[in-house]
Amino acid sequence: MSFFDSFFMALRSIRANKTRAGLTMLGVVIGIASVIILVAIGEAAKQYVVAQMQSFGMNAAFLQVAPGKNAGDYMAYFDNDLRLKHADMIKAKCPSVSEVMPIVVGKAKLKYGKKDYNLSQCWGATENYTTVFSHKVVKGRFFNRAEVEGSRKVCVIGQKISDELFGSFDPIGEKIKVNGRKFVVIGVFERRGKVLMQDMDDVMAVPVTTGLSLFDTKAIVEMDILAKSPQLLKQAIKEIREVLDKEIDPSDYHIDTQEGMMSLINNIVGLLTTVIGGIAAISLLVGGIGIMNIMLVSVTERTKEIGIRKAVGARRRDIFMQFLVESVVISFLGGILGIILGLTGTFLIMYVIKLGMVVVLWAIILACSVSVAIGIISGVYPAMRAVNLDPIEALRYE
Amino acid sequence: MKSDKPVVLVKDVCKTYKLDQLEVPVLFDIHFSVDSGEFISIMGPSGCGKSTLMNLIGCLDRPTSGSIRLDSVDISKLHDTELAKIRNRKIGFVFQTFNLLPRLSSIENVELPLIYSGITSAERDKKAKEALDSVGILSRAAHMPNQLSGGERQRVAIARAIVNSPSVILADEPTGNLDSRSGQEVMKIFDKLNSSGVTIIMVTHDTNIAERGSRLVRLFDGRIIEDKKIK
Repeated sequence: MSFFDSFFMALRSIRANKTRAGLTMLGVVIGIASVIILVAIGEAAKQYVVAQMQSFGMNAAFLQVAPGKNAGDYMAYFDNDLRLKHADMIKAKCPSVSEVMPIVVGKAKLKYGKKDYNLSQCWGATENYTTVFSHKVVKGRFFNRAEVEGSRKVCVIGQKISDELFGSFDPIGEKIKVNGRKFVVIGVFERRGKVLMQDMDDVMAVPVTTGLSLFDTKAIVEMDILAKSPQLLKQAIKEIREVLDKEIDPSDYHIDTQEGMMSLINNIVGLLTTVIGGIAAISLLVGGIGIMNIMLVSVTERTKEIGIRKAVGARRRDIFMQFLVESVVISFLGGILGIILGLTGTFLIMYVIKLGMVVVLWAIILACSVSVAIGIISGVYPAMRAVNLDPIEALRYE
Repeated sequence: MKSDKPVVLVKDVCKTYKLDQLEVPVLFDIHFSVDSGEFISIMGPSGCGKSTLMNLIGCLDRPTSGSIRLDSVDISKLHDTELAKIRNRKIGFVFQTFNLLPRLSSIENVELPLIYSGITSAERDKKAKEALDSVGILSRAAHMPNQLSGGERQRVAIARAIVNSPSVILADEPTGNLDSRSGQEVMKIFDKLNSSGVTIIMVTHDTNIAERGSRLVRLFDGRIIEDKKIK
């Protein structure tokens, strides 16, 4: 008997018991669909984060010196040994570095006339801010080197602040109070929305020197640095370490790169994938047991049929293939339905969270292979039972 | 169509079933041969071993001792796969309860042995139609078994038995589940097949039916007690 004969025989048998076959497939459908959705979400999350980082200027030449031993050592942000002079040293002594931007961050209360505004992030930065963060100024201008060195009380505000405090008036040249001190608004940032959870329209930039006195601190929160090229990134890190290690304890700061931040995200996504993948695997296991169970019932139900087939000349191999192919077809159809459901689910989820559709080809190929493998594994035992039926007993079975 | 060598040669066959520790002897020293073109009726009371003998000749079972030759091939020592091949090519079964597959149409039931012979579907279709035609039921080719009368079902079953041109047809009470008119029709088909040279071995309870054959073998308690030519 050819494979095609077995295949069409299996399709007929499945069609004769549509409801049962459908319910049997369900475990595989759910398992495969959840794998597809999960992998797609993980992949989309990674792509999203990379795109966000790049729009923040964090390309492959970007690196960040931050206080504390590891990323996430937040206590160190406000009390550490990183100083403004270290930024100048890096700029002067590291030939592979093109831009160094020391940053301080603090909260600020803004006041314009009778209007108040509670600002969550006031950034003290240097004149190269717009280059390093790719954050453009659309009205007025950004502050310059002289204003940084002179610790001038000037500020560049986000669109949201401009809208709240000035409405449709032009804020350029207006004086606002920042924590009680008078600042002149010299520029307004372009509208950016949220980037990496940070509302970029709800920030204000002041010269870093001004920021340090405003927040009454000497500690730098981070230094955002660009290497001259992505190829020089490793060299730049080496040069920076040589400078900083002479100045402060090496365990009091760390250097992040885009690659390093990505590996953190990869770890999180990988962990999630493992956990939910495990749940999917259990669903597939249960699905496989369901198929095996139904195939066993099917063999018993069709004892007489098996007897008749043996009497007219079916070999052991033919009977074996008949039931194995049926099991594989059920499981594979389940896999296909699972892929369709998974892609539909992915599309809906991506639509809701407003991300682009992601189709992960390897997950689909894996899903097909897994469903075939489940069919084979759960079909072998029932098929063996069918093969080993005594034809005389089987013919007598009612 | 008579040839020198017998189609079936049953030689000193014994069959004993083992039920746990208990040995139940069913057939003792059965010895007979069937020539090509013969129509043998086997009679005997229930439990005399008729069905066991049919199963042995039909390659569904193996004798405990002795040998059975089919077309000069000793089938008592063959492997399962080879037995399946012989059932497929050399034997056609006709059962009392028809044993058609309920989910297949008449023609698909007739094609079943051909599928296991590895014949292409175009060739299968042609042969199955010829077989259905020869039993006069081609018009019912697309019908499902439950749309057919008992007599029609048995004719489809006979078409399935002859579709691969077997050496011998084994019929186990072929008229047992039929009314007398349908039974007569089925016997007419057997007569026709036999007169065209097909060898038939038939088990029956019915003396009238048995006498349609050319030879009568009587079994009693696992032994042959009578073997005579009728025609």
